[in-house]
Amino acid sequence: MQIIVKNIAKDYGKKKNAVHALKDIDLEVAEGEFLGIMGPSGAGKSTLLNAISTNERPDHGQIIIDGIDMTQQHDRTLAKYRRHKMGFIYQSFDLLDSLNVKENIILPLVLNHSSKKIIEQRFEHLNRLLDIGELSQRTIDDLSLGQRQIISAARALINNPEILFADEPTGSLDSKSATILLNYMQIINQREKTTILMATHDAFTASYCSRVVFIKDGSIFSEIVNSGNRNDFFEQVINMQRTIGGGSYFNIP
Amino acid sequence: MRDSYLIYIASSVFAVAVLTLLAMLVDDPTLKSSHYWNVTLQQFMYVMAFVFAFFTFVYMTYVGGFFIQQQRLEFKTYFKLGMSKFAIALISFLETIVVQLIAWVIGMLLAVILQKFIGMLLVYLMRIDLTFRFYLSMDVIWIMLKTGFYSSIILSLLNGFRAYLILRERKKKQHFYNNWFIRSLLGIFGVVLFLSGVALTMPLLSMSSEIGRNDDSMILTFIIGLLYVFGSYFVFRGFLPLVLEMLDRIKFFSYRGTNLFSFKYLHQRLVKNTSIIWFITELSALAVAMLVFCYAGYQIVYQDYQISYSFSLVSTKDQAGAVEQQLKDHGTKVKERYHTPIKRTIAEIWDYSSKEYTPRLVSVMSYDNYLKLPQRITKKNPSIKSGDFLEIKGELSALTPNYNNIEHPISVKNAPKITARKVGSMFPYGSRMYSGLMLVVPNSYYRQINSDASETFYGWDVKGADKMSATAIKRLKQKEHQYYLTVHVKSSLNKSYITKSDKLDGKYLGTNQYIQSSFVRQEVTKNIVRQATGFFLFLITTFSIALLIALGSLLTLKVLLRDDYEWRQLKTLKRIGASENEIKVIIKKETALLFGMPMIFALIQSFLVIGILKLVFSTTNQFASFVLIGLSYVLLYGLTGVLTYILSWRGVKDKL
Repeated sequence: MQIIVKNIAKDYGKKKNAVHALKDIDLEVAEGEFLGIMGPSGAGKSTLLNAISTNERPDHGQIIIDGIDMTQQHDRTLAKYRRHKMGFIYQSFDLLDSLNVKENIILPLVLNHSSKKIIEQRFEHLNRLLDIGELSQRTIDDLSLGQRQIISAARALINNPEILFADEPTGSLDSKSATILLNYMQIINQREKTTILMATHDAFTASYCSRVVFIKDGSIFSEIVNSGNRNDFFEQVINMQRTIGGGSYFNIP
Repeated sequence: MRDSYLIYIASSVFAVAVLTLLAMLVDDPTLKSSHYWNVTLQQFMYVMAFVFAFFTFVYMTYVGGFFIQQQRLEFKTYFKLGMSKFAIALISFLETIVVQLIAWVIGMLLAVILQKFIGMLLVYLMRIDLTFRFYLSMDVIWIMLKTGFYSSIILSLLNGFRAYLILRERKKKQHFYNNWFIRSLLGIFGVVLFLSGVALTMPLLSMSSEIGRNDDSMILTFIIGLLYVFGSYFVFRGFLPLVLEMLDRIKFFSYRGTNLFSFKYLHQRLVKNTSIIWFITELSALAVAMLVFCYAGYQIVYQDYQISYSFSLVSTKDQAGAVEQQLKDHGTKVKERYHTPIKRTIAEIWDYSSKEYTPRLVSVMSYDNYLKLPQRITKKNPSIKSGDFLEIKGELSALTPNYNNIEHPISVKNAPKITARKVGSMFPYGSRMYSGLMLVVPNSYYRQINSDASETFYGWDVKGADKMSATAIKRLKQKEHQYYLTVHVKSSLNKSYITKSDKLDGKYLGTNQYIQSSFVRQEVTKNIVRQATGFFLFLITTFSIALLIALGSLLTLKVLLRDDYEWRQLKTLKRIGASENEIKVIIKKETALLFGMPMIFALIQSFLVIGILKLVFSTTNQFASFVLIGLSYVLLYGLTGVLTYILSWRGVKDKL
């Protein structure tokens, strides 16, 4: 599913107090791409992700997904679109504490009014894939951070999303859990051709992407494409981070 | 936060305004100048002001709790940043005192503005011909200011203490009833209690119609009250959460859209708010029952008064000339004059208490003469044709047990037995002119009766007041010519007879001795009835409506008070794809549950008042009053519910 972002901007606050979170950003994401969005804290990564995932409306500009301009759609349509075509993984997991593990995972399908049969089938499939069977009846409070993120990923994937949004998915995880999750995301991307957009400021996490765009102060600063060698790509990411952190500024023409 | 600030101030302003208004009316010089406003009414108003002050204080204490709870996180943040507990308690104290003082000042100003309107309403309801003047009593203002100051200090201290308690680390108490299984058992027990209350209310309605069972009925009423109070608590605490839990477990229901989340969310909200919902339900039921009771009582008193005084002035034949002369002297505009001859004889009537026939005095009027009376009198009795008999009974409001029972025929002296008849309660010329039973009979039957003591009743309808001076009334009373009728019971009905005398042999009336009044004036009683009913109507209505509004606002605050955990859940739901509409539906369901449950349970419980009315007034036809007041209650709470939903949704939308 191709994503085209045209000239979007987003401000928070009003008049003198306004903060320009996004400034006229243009971006294209090809179908099946694993795109990383990097940048320092406050650069606008999450805002960009929220805008593309239709959770927030930009002040102006267009977000075209699969040929549909999302900025022109009604909230109801967007909500429907989100639950049918998109999946979300957040750093804070955003799991519902009142529901148990299984209920959290199947929630997107239940919201879609899917049949009980499909719900059970999909849950069983993920169960096998992620090996979360023994957690299914536990409450969220009983899970470790790594387990919570896996559950969060399972929830994001239960409805076979065409686009997966991940906002700092490994931020709360230890390195082992982070690797498991990232490997799994890579598998999803390669096998299911799921388009993945991931915001992160961790170079190791970003090295799993096929391309990384760097954002600074609400604008796209630079981008790096993964040539296939992960180590080289990782170095490039580190260098770019150093550049941004050093204050040098290269505008993308 | 802004909404709850406004609600806190608005509800406090409302309570203060009503309290100040009552206090102003106690001491109002216009009311004091009227001779209708006697010391008893003033004292009663004084007591009501105290009662209201107490409720106002309890209400404000409760609302203040919400206010502090909403700032829980802020206080905790201050504490984490290093502020001392004392400083935070002081902030809470100062904040409350400012809000309270503002509320008192606005409330008192509002009362001053509304004083004339409310006074006029009271005067109107009491039908006092009086121009109510605006009066600002500095004494009352001073007392209210002092009360406001002291109450603000106390409430602020309480809130300061509450803020202090919030900052204390407390271990969660594990109540035994928080266990899911025990709570469910209690819930089922609650349903059994509540349904037993409903089931026992039904026989109560029929039980009271049996003479001699009143003591049992009172005990039963008390038991039903207890069953309702405890039953509804356990239903809220255990049964409703159990229902939601079961719905949640049945996948057919829970696997549908937001149900998977909303059943659990509603469950949490319900468990958290059980006490307040129960408290509001019981007080609402009390308020509705009080309103129905007073409204029905008012109707009964009014009906009884109308039956007692059907004309402005009524007299017997002896006094008619004197009354006419006084009306002429005072220039009274007489609208209509009526007079009707009646015969008096003896009839054997079934006595339900002794379960035997007893000879009694009856007054008899012919069908033709009955028809000549004003329609306003005849239409209150069942309509009769020329060949029909009508029995008019003189017991209070004709609402006593067996009132409509006609299975026992009436034997009239030297006349055919009356079997088929209709039963009415409206005495022509008013019940005060009759002793015992009255019969309207066909003309031919009337002619057959040998009267032992005939009489002619005279009635006058005047335009406005009868204008008679106190001296004139005194003069008429001097000429009063009441007499006594004695039924002498012999071996058979036909041998029994009536004698008429001007004086009694002894000091008291004996069995089968009757007084015939010679003159009855409506005016004085009319004023007393209007005054008393108007006054009580005013007080009870003010009190009940204020109580209902106060309870509604408490519920509103409770709905608006969501903790962080609840907010986060709604937000997450939106992020993973629930539309705003679906979240709106959850809020709608939550408001409907929190407002609907107290409404339904309060209405069921307050239906008990119908049984109580039957016990107290022996009245059976108050269902319409209940429906009317019940609907008003539903409307009032419905509107509060809609308003709460709008505020609640606005708050949620802002945060999502």
